Order: sequence, then structure tokens, then C-alpha cells
Amino acid sequence: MKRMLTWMALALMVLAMGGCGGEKKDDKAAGAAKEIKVGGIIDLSGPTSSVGAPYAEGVKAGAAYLNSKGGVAGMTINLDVQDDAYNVQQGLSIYKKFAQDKVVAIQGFGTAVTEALTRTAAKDEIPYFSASYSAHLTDPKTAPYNFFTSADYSTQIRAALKYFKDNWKEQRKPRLALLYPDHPYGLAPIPAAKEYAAELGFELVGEATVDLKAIDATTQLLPLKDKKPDFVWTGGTTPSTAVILKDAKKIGLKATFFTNIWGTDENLIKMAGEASEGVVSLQAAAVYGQDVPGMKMILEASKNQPQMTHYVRGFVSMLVMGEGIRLAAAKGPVTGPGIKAALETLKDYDTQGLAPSVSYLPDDHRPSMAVFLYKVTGGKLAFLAQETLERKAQWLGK
Amino acid sequence: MEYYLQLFINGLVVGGIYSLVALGFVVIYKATKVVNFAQGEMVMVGAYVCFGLTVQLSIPFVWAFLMTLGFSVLLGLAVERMALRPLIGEAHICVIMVTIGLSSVLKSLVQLVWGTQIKVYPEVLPSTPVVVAGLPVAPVYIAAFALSGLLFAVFTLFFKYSRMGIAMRATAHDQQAAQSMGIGIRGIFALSWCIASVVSTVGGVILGNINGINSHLGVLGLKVFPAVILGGLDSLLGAALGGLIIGVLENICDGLAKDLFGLGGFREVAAFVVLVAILMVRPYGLFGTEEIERV
Amino acid sequence: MRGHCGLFFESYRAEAAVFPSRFQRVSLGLFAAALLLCPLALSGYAMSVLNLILIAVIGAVSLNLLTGVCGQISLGHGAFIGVGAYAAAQASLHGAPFLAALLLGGLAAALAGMVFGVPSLRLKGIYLAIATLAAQLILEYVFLHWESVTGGSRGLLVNAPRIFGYAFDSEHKQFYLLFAITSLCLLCVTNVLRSRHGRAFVSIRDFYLSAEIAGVNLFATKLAAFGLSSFLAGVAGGLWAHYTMFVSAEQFNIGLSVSYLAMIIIGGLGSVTGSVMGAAFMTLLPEFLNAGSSALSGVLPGIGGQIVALREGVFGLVLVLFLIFEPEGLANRWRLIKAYWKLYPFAH
Repeated sequence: MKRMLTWMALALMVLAMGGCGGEKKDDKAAGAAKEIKVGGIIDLSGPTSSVGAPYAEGVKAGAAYLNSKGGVAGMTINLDVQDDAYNVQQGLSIYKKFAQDKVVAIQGFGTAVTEALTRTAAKDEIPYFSASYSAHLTDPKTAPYNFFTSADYSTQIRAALKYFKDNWKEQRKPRLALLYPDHPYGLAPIPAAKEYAAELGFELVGEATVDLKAIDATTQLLPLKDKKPDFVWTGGTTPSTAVILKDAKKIGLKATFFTNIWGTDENLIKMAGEASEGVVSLQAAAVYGQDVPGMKMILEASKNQPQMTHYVRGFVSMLVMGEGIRLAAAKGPVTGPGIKAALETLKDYDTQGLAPSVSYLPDDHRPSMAVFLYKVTGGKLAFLAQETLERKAQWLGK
Repeated sequence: MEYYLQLFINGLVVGGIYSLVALGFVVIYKATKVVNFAQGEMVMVGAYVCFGLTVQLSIPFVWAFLMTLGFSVLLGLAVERMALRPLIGEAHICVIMVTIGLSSVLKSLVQLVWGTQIKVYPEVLPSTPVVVAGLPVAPVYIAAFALSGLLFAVFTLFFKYSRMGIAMRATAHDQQAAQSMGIGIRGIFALSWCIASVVSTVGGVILGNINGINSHLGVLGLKVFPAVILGGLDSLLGAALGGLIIGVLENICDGLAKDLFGLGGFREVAAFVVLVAILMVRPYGLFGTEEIERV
Repeated sequence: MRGHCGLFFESYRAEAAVFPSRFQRVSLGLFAAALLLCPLALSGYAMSVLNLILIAVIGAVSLNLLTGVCGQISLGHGAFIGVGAYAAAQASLHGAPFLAALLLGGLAAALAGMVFGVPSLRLKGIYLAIATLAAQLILEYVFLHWESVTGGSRGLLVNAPRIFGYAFDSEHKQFYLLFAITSLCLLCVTNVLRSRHGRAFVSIRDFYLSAEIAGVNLFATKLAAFGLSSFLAGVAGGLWAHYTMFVSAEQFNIGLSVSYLAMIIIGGLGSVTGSVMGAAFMTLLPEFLNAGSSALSGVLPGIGGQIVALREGVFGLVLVLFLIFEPEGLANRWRLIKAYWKLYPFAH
């Protein structure tokens, strides 16, 4: 009995301390009239945390930057980033809390949670920005409230294929191989890739699956080596890409490997070392330190500490959302549907070189048909070209 | 055909790593009849500690490795004393769940101390591949293969001929009888966890060398289960062979699934499908001791 | 004679009653009434937590039936819930009424459960556990690849449940639906435990050799346990699918199976009350964590973010602590508390 009483007393003490400590939050509520509530559901822990954490930092830096410049339309952005650890149930409960707190927009991240919330966000009319760039999220018919600021995965791979074909000098058909993980993220752009490759005149010589957590890809690469592909798409994330690159170097498979946004970042160069030389990476934001006008904002926000490409992308995502809020505020009180409508009038929004200019249309949420291509040269990501595709209606959502 | 031969060799090579981790499993089970779901995480902790010592504190690799082994002994002792000893005598399911809980705790501790970024190991072994029967193999895998063979030999001799080893087998067989013969059970348990921890650390360092380390290295523990069960939970030979068999099986089934059925990514489940099939025929694995039930 | 000194039964029927004493019946009635009045007082977010608890209760009680009562360790529960979710979602999308879709989901899961229960013919203990782990991973693979049925990587979009045209599309309305179905499932499991089938399950867990000698058909009973447990898991899956309105392969992974196992261990193996308590505890744990981190952030700034990120570690720690200090779970602790108050001021 005594023990029970001691435990109860201890618990009450902790709660009392918490009560005293928690009072700080009430001050924020007083300024609620002049602030815009934005929720963040980003993976700070869990399988994608190595890219989620820098992205979250970028988003927070973007909000801080906007606030330092006087806020958006005179109002400060109150950004609350919560961790969903790539767990759908956790993401759902965080979302429900945000919906109750009446946030006007959400910065999301991972595919699993974004897909799960598509319908709910549409029903609650809350614009949902994500770092999941699946093509079907660009079709307002099925995902009316979803936005993102990078070209979708299918557009990325099409842009790469077009760039390679345009720069292909030989007479024969270029040979293409596809390596991707057996996971929704990896499977998504493959049909688009095959269709467009056939259209452009590539010869598809092989495809194989390499798991996101693979430690060895030799068995998948061996049969490809005999087919002598010129270009190999590696659709995983940096760890699996590093494994593929190292094993390819080991067995002497020479080809131009190209990856999407999550397949190459500063970590890949660290992990694969020399094997990463010559890899072409598709990006939707400038690399830290690149000579573009907008880099000043990034340098200022990050206090000159080098950051990953995900940081820059998160920053851009917040800037675009800020622009949408600004346009919505000009028409009246800031609400979810208001922001959506405002975003859909965005035309060639310029992020000062940090990313290709963003435009949304009421029936087309593809932010841009332009993709940056980078090549790993001398251990660094060097800008190669910007490839812009036509905004074809038949490609929407695929 | 040559393709399948190459698959076979690559399977053997990757299976060497599975065998290394499987050995740790079996040592614990042989002495304490506990199935350790946290084996993968112990591998990860070993890799991270060695990384921390080598890269962050700039200690030369050999010394860092020895210090890591020392740390892993302490880790094994701590785990046994705090988490496993209170559960002596409890139902199977409770012990399994404790190890599962332990794996989550270890993963979080690693994330707390080292963050979630991917970390890269310094190159310890040369990277030029060695050619085995027409297939280039990275030296890291040769090292893994050699190490698991060496450890297997050492432990077989240990369990068969040394006093301590026989004492451990006796404890696993019948705790009460062993105690009445004067064997200190608590020491045996502690020793078995220390050995498993050390073996995991070796595996972790090798694994870290292959592709860097992140806090999800522990999923290897799940993959090793088919190897351990196939070989039989209490057989060292089974663990070593099981690892190799599963490595080969994964590759060959993946190739077959693609050629015959057009199914991608089958290698992840191949091991488990074959496992269930074999268990139906031999319920205690290929080399496990069959439990004879007498009424 | 019904006095105040205890329970005195005059017939077998009275003894086998679920709530023998009037006090128990009255308290349960009050508790149920309080729950039914909840939606009037609580916000949408709190209601969503309650709804998640109700779905988790069904999943936990079904797993407890298999693992706690029948003694078959199952690591594949998440996958069976997934089977139910997909089947119910597909049935709904093909126009079946909600309740029929739910039943179909349950039946599909029961079938899957019985298929993967076949190894129990030959396997025991940890080997059976690994066979169920294999079931989990194989089913995950099927979810991802059987595109025509599961939508593969895109997943399936489901509508809110409708019964006779009445749509349950808000948290408060869903609460009543979930409350009704959960109460039904709990009643079902309690009755199974009271029947001879329930006694057969317990006998297999305790002394299966003696059970066989006493005439229990081991294989059939084990298959029945797998089947019934998976049926209820399928019902939970169907409810989950209609609640979140989205089904994808990533939701039903090994983490889900482990969290259900944790629920029944923390709650107490083999008891229905335990399942309810365990489910509530595990679902409320992230909420406690958030509250705790915001409380502590007043005292130790910065630790708040860390604690939430270490959610998995805290979950593992809680599990380990429970197993060390309270291996029989919350149900046992509740029983001891009740006994204490019943006998106060006497010690026993």
C-alpha cells in the first residue's frame, strides 16, 4: 500500500511540474489571430529518417525565413512538425489532431501516409504538400488537395530518357535496363518508363528487382552485364543504389547509371566512393552552394552549414506553400480551399533558381515539367542540364 | 547453366554473412533455450560502436575492434542480467517478447546516440575483387566466409571438448540436473550471451564494411531466422550450413521465379516459403535434435 | 440466500454466467452508459483515439484467443488483419453492403488463417512461431504483387461504411458502429471461452498430450483456433479499412503483429479483460508520450522532440519493464487491486 501511495505521489508531482511547464504554450494562443497554422507530418525517425530529417529541417528553415521577412501577408507561419516514423496509424492520428486544431495546410513527406490521407485531406479541404512524388497525386480528379514541388517520378524518368536520347550520337538503338525495388515507390514509374522508352526508340534489354535493404546485387547485375546496357535506371534509395554501383564496378558492368531524387544525394558519394563517378541524378532543387540567386536564402537560413539536397527541396516546398497562402490572403481569410484555389492560379512561380519554376492548374497539379540533371564528377554533384518536357495531357497522373 | 552456377557461388558468399549471425543465435539457444529476436540489433550495435571508436575517436582500427569486442562482452552481460534473468521459468512467449522489446530499445539507443544519418565505414579490406570460378567476389565476403568457418570450428571444438562447453550443453539439456552437478547456471547464461554478443559484433563490423551502417541494419536478424530454423535451433553445423543454404536458395529461387513465373522480388520470401515446406517434412530442422515426447 | 458475504450459486447455469454478481452487472451497465455518452462530450480527436482503441480491442482479443488461450504463438496476426481488410474493401467496392463485406473479410481471413495453421499439425512452440512469421512475410508479398485484387502498390480506396443508406462518416457516428461490433466480438469470445471448445483450447495450451488422451482432436481444435482467431482479425481488418478509407500493403507489416502481441502480453495472456486493457494501453501510449514530452519540455527543453522520435524505444522499454515486473499483465494487476479493496482492511 505504501509503495502504491509513493508511486501515486510521484506521478502527481511530475504532472504538477508539467502543469507549470506547460503554461508557456498558452501565450501562443493569444497571438492566434495573426498567425497561420501549418502542420508538418514528416519522418524524423523510422526507415526514411535519413532523408526525412534534412527535409524537415529545410521546411522549418523555409518557414523561419518567411517569418523573418515579415511573415506572409503580415501573418506569421506557425509550423508544427510532428514525427510519423513512416507509420500510417501514427500519421493518421497526427493528422486528426491537426484537423482539430484547424490547420490550413500540411507539409507531409512519405508515400504511405500521403496516400492514406489523400481522401481525408480532400474531404477536410486541407492542402497537403508531400515529398512523395508519385504521378497519380498530380491528378486533381483523384487527389484534389495534393501538391508537391518537384516533378513527379514518371516525369523525372521521362526527362532523363529524353536527355539521353537527344545526346545519343550512335546509329544503333541505345540499350536500357531497369533496376528497381519491389515496393510501391519503386514500381510506380516503371510503366511510364517502358512506354516512353519504346516511344523514343530505346531497346529494353533487361530489368530486375533490387530490394531497398539489399546488401548485394551481384546476381541481378550478372545477366545484365552480358546484355551490355548503355543506360541503367536504379530506382531505389541511396543505400541500395550504393550497393548496385559497387557491385557493378566489381563485375565490370560499365554503363551510365541514372537515379531519381532519392537515389542520389551527398550520402551516395560517401557510401559508393569511386563507384559513384559518372552517375546521373535527377533532382528538383539546386545543390547546396550552387551559384543561383536563391542560394543566398539557403546560406542565410542554414548559417553556411552545408546541407543536403533534401534540405533545399524542403525549403522550396515551404516557399511555394507560402506563396499560395499569400495569394489566398489577398482574396480574404486564409482557408484550406482558398489556398488550393490560389495555388491553382500559380504560374511560373520563380524560386530564384533553387528549383524549376512551379505552376499548377485546376485540372493539373504537376508543378513543373522541367527536371535538373546532375552528374557526379570528382566526388561532387555537378549541374549537367535542365530538361523540360511538354506538358502532355495524356501523361497526367501516369 | 553458368548463370545458375554463378548464382550458387554468390549465394554461398552472401550466405557466409548469414552463417555468422546465425552462429550467435544458436550459441544462445544451445545454452539457454532462448530465441533471441534481438540478434540483428546486437549486430548493429557492434557495428556502430566500432564505427564510433574508429571514425569519431580516431582510434586505429585494430585497437578499436578489440575495444568493441570488450564492449560487446559488457553488453551481453548487461542484457542477460537485466532482461533475461528475471524471466527464467516464464513461458516461451514472454521471453520472445522480451527480446523483441530489447531490439526496439537497442535501435532507439543507437538512434539517440548516433542520429539517423547513414554512416560510412573506413575501408579496412582492399576493394579489388577476387575471381572465384568466373565470378568476381569482394574480399569482404571472403573474409566473412573465412571468419564464419573459423568461428564454427572454434565453437564446435569448444562445445565438444572443453569443460565450459560441456557445462553449457548440460545446462541447455536439463537445468536442474546441471545445477545439482555443481554447474553455476548464472555464469553459464552470462557466458553464452557474451559469446553471442561478440560473434554479432564481428558480423556487424563485416556488414558495416559492405554498405555503411544505418539504424536499420537489424533487419538482417529477421532474414537469418530461416537459416537458423532450417539448420535446427541447437545445431552449430546446422547454423553454418543453414546460412549458406539460405544464401544459395534465395538467389536460385529468385532466378527461377523470374524465368518461370515472371515474379519479381521473390528472393525476399523464397527463404520462408522453402522453410515452411521443409519444416512440414522435418519439424526440427535439418540437423536439430528431435524432441521425443514421452507420456 | 443472497447475502453480502460472497457469491453463492444454486445452479450450474448461474455459475456459468458471465457477470455473476449484481454489482458487476451494475458497474458494467454504468461503464457502457458512460461510453455511449462520450461522443457528446469529447472532441473529434479524442473520439478518433477511442475508435482506434475499439478496433485494436477486436484484434487483440482475437490474438489472445489463439496465443493466450490456445497457446499457439502467432507472429502473423498483422497479415491476417490485412487479408480481412483487403477482402472487405474489395467486397465493398463491388457493391456488397457493409455488414456483408465485413463478414466476407472475416471469412477470407479465416481461410488464410486455417491454411497457415496447417503447419501446427507438425510444429510446436518456436518452430510454429517462425512458420507464422513466414505466413506474415508471404502474405505481405502477396499484398504487394496480386495487383488485380489488392491494387498492388497503389492500394485501395474505400468509402465510409453505410448501413441501409445511413453513412457513418464522422468520428462520432463511427464510434457507435465500432462500439456495437466490438461488444459483439467480446461477447463472442467470452462465450467461446465458456464453452467446451474454449476448454479444449485451454487444455491444448496446458497439457496437449493429456488433452489428446482425453479425446480432444488436436489438429482440428488447433485449426479451429486459427480459424476463429483469424475470422475476428479479418473483422478488425474490415473495420480498419472502412475507418481509414485506404488500404495499402505497407500498413500490415511485422510491426503490426508485434504491437498486437505486445498488447496481449501487457494486458494479460488468456483473459478478455486483459485484451481490452492491453489494447487501450498500447493505443494510448503515443498520447501519453506526447503529453509527457510537452510536459517535460517545460522543465527540460529539447527533450520533447527526442522522446517522440524514440517512440519505438519507449514501446520496447515499456514491454520489457512489464515483462520483468508484471509478467501476467494489467489484468492481473487489476484483479489484485480489486481483491485489495474487496478485503480491506484485511490482508487476505
